[in-house]
Amino acid sequence: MKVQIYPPPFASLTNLDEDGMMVLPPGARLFTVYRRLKIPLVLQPLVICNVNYQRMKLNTQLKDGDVISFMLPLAGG
Amino acid sequence: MRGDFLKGYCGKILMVDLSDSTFEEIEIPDMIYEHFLSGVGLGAYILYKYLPQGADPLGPDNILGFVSGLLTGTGSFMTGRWLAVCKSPLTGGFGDANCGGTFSPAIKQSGYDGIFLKGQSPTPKMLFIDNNGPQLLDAADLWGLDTVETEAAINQKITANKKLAIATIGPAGEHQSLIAGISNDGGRMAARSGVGAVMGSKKLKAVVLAGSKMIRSRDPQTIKTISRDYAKKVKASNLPPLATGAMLPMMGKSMVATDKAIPIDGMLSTAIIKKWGTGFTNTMGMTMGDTPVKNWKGSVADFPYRKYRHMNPDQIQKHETQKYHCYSCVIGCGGVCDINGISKGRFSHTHKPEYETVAAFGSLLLNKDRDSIFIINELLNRGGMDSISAGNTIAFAMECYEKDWLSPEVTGGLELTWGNAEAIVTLVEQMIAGVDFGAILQHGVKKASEILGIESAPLAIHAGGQEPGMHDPRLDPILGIHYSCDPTPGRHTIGAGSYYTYMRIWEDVTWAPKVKLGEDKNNEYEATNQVGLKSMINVCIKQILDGSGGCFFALVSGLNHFKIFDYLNAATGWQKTPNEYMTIGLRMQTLRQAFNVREGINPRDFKMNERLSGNPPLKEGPLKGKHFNIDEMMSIHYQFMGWDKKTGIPTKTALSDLGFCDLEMEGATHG
Amino acid sequence: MADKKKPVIDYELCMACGICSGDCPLSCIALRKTDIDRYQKAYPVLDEYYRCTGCTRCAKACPMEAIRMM
Repeated sequence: MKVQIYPPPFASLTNLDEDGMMVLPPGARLFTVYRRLKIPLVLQPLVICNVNYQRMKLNTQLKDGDVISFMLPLAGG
Repeated sequence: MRGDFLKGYCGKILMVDLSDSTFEEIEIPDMIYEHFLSGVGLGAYILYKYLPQGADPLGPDNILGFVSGLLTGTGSFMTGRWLAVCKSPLTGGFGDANCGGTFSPAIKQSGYDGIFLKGQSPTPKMLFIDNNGPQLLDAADLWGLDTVETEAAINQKITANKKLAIATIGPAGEHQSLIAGISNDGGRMAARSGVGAVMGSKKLKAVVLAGSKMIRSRDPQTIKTISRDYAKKVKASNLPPLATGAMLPMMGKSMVATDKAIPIDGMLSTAIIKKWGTGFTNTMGMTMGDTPVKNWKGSVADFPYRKYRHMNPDQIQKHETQKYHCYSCVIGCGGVCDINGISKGRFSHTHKPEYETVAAFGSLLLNKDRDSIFIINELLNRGGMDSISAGNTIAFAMECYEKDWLSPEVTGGLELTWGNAEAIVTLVEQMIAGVDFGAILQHGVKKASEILGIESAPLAIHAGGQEPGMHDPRLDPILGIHYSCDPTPGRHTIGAGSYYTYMRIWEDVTWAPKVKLGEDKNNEYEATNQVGLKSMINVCIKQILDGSGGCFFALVSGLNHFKIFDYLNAATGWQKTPNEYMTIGLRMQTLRQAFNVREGINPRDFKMNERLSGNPPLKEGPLKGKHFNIDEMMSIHYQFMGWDKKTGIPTKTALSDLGFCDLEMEGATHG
Repeated sequence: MADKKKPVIDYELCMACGICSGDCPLSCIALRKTDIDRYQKAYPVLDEYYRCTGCTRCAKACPMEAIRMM
């Protein structure tokens, strides 16, 4: 199955295609995404991660087409 | 067909002649809104049509407009913005200043999409509009009051059925400081372009609105559905409790650790803005290189952690007593701060200082005294002066002082050494009052350098007279394009490579290039076709946003969430595609540019001081060595806008292709 | 004579956007309740109960349908 990922800047991008899609085995959980993105443990408290714009636990089971977004600030103001 | 007349806009404007105290309601045909939307587009249309060519910006022929947005009051979220429009006394070209607060819906609830004022009153006046119509009331007793005092006095004087929405100038506008702005609700500022000076030149102290007419749109149910979907996502976007301001510098470092583009989901940025407002980037911007230091010639090496840590937004938040938000906003980036203690009783409260103010009076001046920034914030809000322009002007003076071009004799004893907070506060007071050394600086950096002499010009950081916002084009060169190419130059909210990425406009606009994961960000330092296209797209969507009354933070939360095109169709009954809206945006921008050309402006003269294109490059910090060729970047932007690549003047072809209704466009092109 | 219905706000749905407050023709709704969310956003409260004519503009305007007339 494929999920859309919006990774944080320090993540490893090797498991994403150019559109930010990640291929996962069916039934994969959110922590698999964390692992594949290699998000450093020390930065995890700052990182917020929503699945389809809802906070979900790390053991949440994902499905095809889910949108997983990691928080990233921006400029302006 | 039933309901055809329900279009989201009012269909008329009010034209007030302050010279003879007359009012005229002008019906605006549907076609005008279809060509220019409302907001800035309507403002540009009215100014182009009615403002005599060559008008003195501080004379009776200038027209000052207060325009709401097409989507304001329709049930859409994030559409509570208004603009002040005029011929700018600061640049000589089109002037507009964007603001939030409570004023935007009040304009439409008066029954007008825009309120325009020409002429000059012989004595101070305020314009009051309620359901009975407009009146000009005496405001002689308000003249001289600051903006907060003025609002309080007006609320004492006038009782209306509805809470008054007030836009007012302070002493800076009364003195016609070219960097004066217009304040709403105690310090939300329409700050740029010298709009406050124009208001002051007309002896117009305030516009006071108390109307309650209904704003009707074609399909309110669809609008509500879009709004609910947006709100649901915003509500779910929250930072974890462990996230603190101390982590932000590290976040900034990680953002520039890679040259690869990472398309992000802008929706989650609302989480960070909900918590800290714009202040999240006070410290993050230092490590990224976004935040300018020492009159744009320094870096984090000059303002290291032990200094910039005082701007940690958590420390600013400590003073916040409650959030503040504009009409129809579900994010809420503003705040009200208790500064009674900090100001030793001088002021009780202030609007939470925005990032722009913190940077302009912090790192830009090497000032680490956070308390002084709160006080400066309130002084500028009350005085009615633009903090971006004021900070840049003081930075210029400090660099002149550093070079011994200014002495304490000239500055009236003020020691303008970098970081001297006490001197900065005193200087701000002088600038607002237009006295002492402040009299030289009160009109912005270009005028100040003209007074001080030609050698100082390279230190004066401006584009066509307007000082830049606190975001460094050496980090994001497309930002630099807009500093130099927008008809209101020096504005940081027009466009940038990063904004383009966050907007995800390619999901709606078929010809917009997609930002691919892992794209090399260094590509944006060259004047390529892709850069030209992105910068053109930035401008078109920004015009659509400003024509709708939309908030910049909604735009960068992603157009995949903030469905502005669907909102516009639901409000008006139009069935335009996003591509068609982009053409409207292109037309609106071309009209603003045409206005400048007709006023005799050479677009190339708006080129930003080359310090900001890395000429010469910085020797230290995250932007060490970064540079780009601004002339080439301007050319590629002009080309993609359909303007003459060399001159930036709209071509005859561009003008005839776009179509400008009844406007005479002859004087705005040269073939 | 039946009592006029007055707006009652459901704070579970309310986003504190301020539309109800801004649209009320008599400014009966104030944005001042800050104990709802963690950000201390100012939520609406019907401050002018007796001034309120029950015109229903706030309820109709609310995009979240968080206001009932009761």
